[in-house]
Amino acid sequence: MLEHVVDIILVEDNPNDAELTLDALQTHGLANRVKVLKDGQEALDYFFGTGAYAGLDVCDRPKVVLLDLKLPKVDGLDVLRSLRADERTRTLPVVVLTSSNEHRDRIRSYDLGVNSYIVKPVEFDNFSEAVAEIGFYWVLMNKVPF
Amino acid sequence: MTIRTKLAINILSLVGFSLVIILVLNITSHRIDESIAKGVFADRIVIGVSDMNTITYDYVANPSERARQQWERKHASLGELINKAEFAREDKKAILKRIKENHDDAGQFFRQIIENNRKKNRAAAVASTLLDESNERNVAQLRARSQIMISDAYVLTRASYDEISKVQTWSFWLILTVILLSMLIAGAISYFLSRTINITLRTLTKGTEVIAGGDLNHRLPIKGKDEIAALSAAFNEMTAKLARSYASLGQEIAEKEKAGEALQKAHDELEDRVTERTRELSRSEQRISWILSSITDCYYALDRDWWVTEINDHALIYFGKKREEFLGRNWWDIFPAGLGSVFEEQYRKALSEGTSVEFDVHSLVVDRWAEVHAYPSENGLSVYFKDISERKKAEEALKERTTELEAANKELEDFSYTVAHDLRAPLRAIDGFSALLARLHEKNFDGDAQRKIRIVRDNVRNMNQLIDDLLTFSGLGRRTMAFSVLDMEALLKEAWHEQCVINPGRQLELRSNGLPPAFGDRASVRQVLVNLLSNAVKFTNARTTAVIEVGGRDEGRETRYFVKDNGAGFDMRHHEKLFGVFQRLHGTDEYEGTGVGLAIVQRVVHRHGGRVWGEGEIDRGATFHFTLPRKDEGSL
Repeated sequence: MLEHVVDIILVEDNPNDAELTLDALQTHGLANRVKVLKDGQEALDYFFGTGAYAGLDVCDRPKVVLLDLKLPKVDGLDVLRSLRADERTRTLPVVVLTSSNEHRDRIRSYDLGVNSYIVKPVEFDNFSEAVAEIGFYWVLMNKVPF
Repeated sequence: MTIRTKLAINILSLVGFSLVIILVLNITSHRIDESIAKGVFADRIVIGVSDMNTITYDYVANPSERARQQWERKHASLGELINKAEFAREDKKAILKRIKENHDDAGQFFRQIIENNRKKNRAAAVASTLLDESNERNVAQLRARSQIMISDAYVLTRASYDEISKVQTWSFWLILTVILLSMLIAGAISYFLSRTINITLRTLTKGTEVIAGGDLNHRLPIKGKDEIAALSAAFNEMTAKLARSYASLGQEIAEKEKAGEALQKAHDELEDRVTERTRELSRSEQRISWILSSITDCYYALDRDWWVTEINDHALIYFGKKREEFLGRNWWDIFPAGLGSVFEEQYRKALSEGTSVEFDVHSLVVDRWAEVHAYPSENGLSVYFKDISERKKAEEALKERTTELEAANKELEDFSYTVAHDLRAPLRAIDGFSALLARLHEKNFDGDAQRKIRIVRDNVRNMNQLIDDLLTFSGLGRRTMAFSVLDMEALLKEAWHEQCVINPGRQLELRSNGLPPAFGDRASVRQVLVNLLSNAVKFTNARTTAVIEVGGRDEGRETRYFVKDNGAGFDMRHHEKLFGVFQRLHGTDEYEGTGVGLAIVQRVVHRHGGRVWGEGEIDRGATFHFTLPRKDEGSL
């Protein structure tokens, strides 16, 4: 059962970004319980036990979801909306990790009840640092309601 | 003696003479009557005597009782006639007496005849002859007496005719005398009277003429005490009175003339004023009509029953009609299509609510757009409107353009979004994997390889900055601005603090005597201050102490602010390049930056309706000014 316990769900379609994120987490010893989902649809299937993830215990929830906004199939904001709309995932901590510093994206994210909004730094050092801090904070310091 | 008396005397004398004539005629007639009666008397005596003679003969021839009695009766009546007669004159009386005596004698003789006859009857023949003889004598005597009587009677008749003739002659002469006398007297009186009257009348006429000629001081001479004198006196008095009233009339006329002159003057003045007023009125009417025709708005006025009372030329041109087609006609008769349209609805609303209305309308009648303002008044409705077809067209074009621009903006937005996401991701990958490469193969990479990897990563950083600035710059256009009054001192403090935090190793000095408040979008104006301060700090890095002065003051309709530094300055020849996007006046090795800061400043200031400019000199520092319109003057 241990391999099924996931602390961080990374919803990221860009493999480079995913790799850099995982590297940053690994560097800081946080990569053990990370699950990467490639698009919005996969994320929804995973959370609600549908599609490829049918039969998965939806009660097994991560400590944080790192959600990119620009995703294939289902947009990051739509994923967020679905999560917040469902009773089972309503309180799930979601951190938007995106390249967009657009004002409207921030506003819409917060409107939908995001827990945090982080713009991915382009410079790798800053990026790595930011990801590590997110990991530390949400996995180690933050206490989830469930 | 008065004329009246004179006339009375005249008349009285005429009456007197007439009476005398009547009296004379009366006497004459009386005396003629008397004479005629005497003549008749004589004739009757002649006739009686003749009759008596005849009877005598009859009796003598045939002595009968009846003849005797006839004779007696005749003799008696004749005697009666004679006794009754009277004569005044002695000779006549003597004749009458003789007639009487003869009459008596005739009686004596007849009676003897009778006696003789009686005796004859009784006496013998002898005696009868004697008796016949006696009777013959008696008859002769009788006849003689009769003859005498007849001749006497003729004398008397003649005398009476003479008498008549005498009386007639006498009375003729008397009457003639009286008539002549009366004519003489009356003529004399009339002559003198008319003469007096003529003279006086002539005098009066002359006097009247003189007075009528204007000499009111002329007086008529007064003679005697008659009516003419009284008339003259009265005339004189009248003339005197006339003179007096004339004098007072003259005075009055003079006064009246004076008053008349004053009146005329007042009248003239009044007329002048009326003329002046009329001129003013016509001027003002002209002005009104000029104003009506000069106002670029079309104008017409309707009374409360929709009759057109006025319309100006612009309106006529707009409708393409003549003035006669409007004035005195009902508006809805001219434009029946207006009934039930927005026109009628709005006009009725204006009239019933007493409020002005305005609306834009597309008139089907002329196929043009109009902006209509209607103002109600007591008399009706004043309607001003202007043809806004061009404006509408422009608006339509603008709308179209705006839509196009919005579409372009949307595209730009999408582009920015794409840039933000898709351009940064490869950069991040380049930098990230460069970093990973350098770290993982640290031992295999010599110093030069490490340096080259660093260059790659520096360029990534630069490009990232460029993308950021570009997004900021393009994002400015998209953000809506919220205008408010801004506490510029607080904003300055905030921005300055930021600079101090960002540049910890620098000695920075801010000089400011306070800033007037501005009116604008807070975030944008803050960006302006930040960019200008950031520039000032950047270009003073060669100075030990950067001295940055910030000030501002109200200047008319706008407020001018400036940021002055003691830094590197710039060459004024290139000042037009200052505000261009990605324009730089210094090399990237001297001062970092992408050349977007001032472009952003200019864009913000322009969006506020202000101006921005820079002054500088190489190594002498630079001053950047910008102005913002004051509240209520904002152009946006």
